[in-house]
Amino acid sequence: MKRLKISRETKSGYLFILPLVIILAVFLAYPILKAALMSVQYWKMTKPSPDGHYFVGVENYVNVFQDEFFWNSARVTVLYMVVTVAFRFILGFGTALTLNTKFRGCGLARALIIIPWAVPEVVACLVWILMYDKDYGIINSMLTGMGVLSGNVGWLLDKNVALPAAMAVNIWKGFPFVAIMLLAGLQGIDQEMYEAATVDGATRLQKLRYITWPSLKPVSMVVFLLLIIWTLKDYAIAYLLAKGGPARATEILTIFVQQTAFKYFDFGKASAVGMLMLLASCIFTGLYFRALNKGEKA
Amino acid sequence: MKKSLGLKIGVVVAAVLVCLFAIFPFIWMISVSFKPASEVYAAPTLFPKAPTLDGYKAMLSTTGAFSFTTWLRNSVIVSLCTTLFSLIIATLGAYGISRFHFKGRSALSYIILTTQVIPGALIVVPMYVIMGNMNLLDNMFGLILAYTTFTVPFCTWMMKGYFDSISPTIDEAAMVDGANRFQVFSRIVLPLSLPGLAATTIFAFISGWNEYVFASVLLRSYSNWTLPIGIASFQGQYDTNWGTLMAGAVMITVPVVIIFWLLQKHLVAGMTAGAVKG
Repeated sequence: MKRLKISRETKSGYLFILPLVIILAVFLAYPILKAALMSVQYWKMTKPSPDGHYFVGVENYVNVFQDEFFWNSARVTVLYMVVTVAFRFILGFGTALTLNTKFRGCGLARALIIIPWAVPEVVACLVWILMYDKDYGIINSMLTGMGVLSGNVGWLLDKNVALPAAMAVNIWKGFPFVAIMLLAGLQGIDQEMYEAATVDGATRLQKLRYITWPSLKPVSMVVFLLLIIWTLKDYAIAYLLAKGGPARATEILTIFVQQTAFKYFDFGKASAVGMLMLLASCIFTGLYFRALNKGEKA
Repeated sequence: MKKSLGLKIGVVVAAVLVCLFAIFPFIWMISVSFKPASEVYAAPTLFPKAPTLDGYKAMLSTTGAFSFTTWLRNSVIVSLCTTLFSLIIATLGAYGISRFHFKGRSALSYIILTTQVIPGALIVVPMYVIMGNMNLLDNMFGLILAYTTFTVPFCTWMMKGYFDSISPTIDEAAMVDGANRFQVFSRIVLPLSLPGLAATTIFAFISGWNEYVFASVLLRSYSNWTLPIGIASFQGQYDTNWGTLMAGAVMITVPVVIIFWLLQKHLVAGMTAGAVKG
């Protein structure tokens, strides 16, 4: 009797997860397997082979590694990731600390700070393209007005400044997420700890170092790694701003894949780069889980 | 006392600076949306000298292939369907993972988290081929399926966090009273997790509303486009009319910003709950 009951329970459990498993299998697991397969097959869409999509071994991967533009993209990606993650985190952390203090209008400030996060990427990029405009952009107008610049700069047209310009948009769009998550973490800290520390004569800096930071560490670790993973995946911002240009200065790996697939129509090579990115993501996920487990033990 | 006053001023100054940085592009977008073309192509001023609604009128009266209202309708359909499908699949799945001890349960919850790291760039190529094989290219239903797939894992993760915080003894009590599992789920547990549902709904809706990359790859004909691709196509033309373009941008953005403001607390709670529990 008891056994029957358990198996029925288990059965209804499976029914609950069935749609989830199906959609994950059909539209996530299958495409990944398909990408893995395509990465070792011939998929040059502009030159269809009479043999169809035949097996080519590691040729696509070799093509990738011999492509100087791939290495350019890898370099740009790492730079883009390091700078934007660091700045989003620092700016977000500073914002969270600032907005955690009570002052008149802090509620308003918390509401305003969300805006960049809420604005759709396409809209954000369009507005920044307009602000970056060489002749009529507000940024050039302000900087020359203040005497910082002597002449107008084509922010997204000059290969020396396009990458930093794209990074600025990414940082602007991304720091509110960090600020809001950390602010939620800050508000969860027991105020009595600060009071006790004040009684014991701790300085502000000591409180930050010995109470705030350790309490925020679990949330920070999660936020930090999410930032890394999301940045590796992201391409709407860089793509919309400059399509990877000028002279491939903003061509992060995601754009490289997109261009290889839908401009040069080599699906095999594109899949190979995608698989390499998945590998990089998995390494970061491994670190993520290790950090999470450590956080739980601590 | 003096030191604390100095600190307070410092905090307020920092807050003002950071807020200005955050909202300036937003304000600029609104300002330009009210400017006539002659003012856009001139030395920029913060406020329009001769504010006009022409941009909004022009954007709303676009017809034929490049029609704002058609894209708006498409975006609403795609986002609503994505939300509906994601919610059904995610709440059922999250309840299953939260309440049942089946084989592969922990593996499944790990897989759900792992999906967060799959680069879209990896999926987009095979997805294009698969959708082509299924005759779902240039088809809104294909796009909805793709979006649902991307939003479901995160929605499940958030909902599981909420379900975990509701004691299973409530379920057991209801089952003793004769309710079956599905009744417990739909009539007791779901109503108890309304804040979580709200957060998940916004997340799914906004994901669909804002998405650009997959829409631009999977949709071809203008009449199937969603707002993000539609509006982006205005830029880069030789005679880009920025006033009109920004009017469209304002109309896309304002609803999203309002939703965020209304429901941000739930969204943050949902995300942190998932983040802390893993």
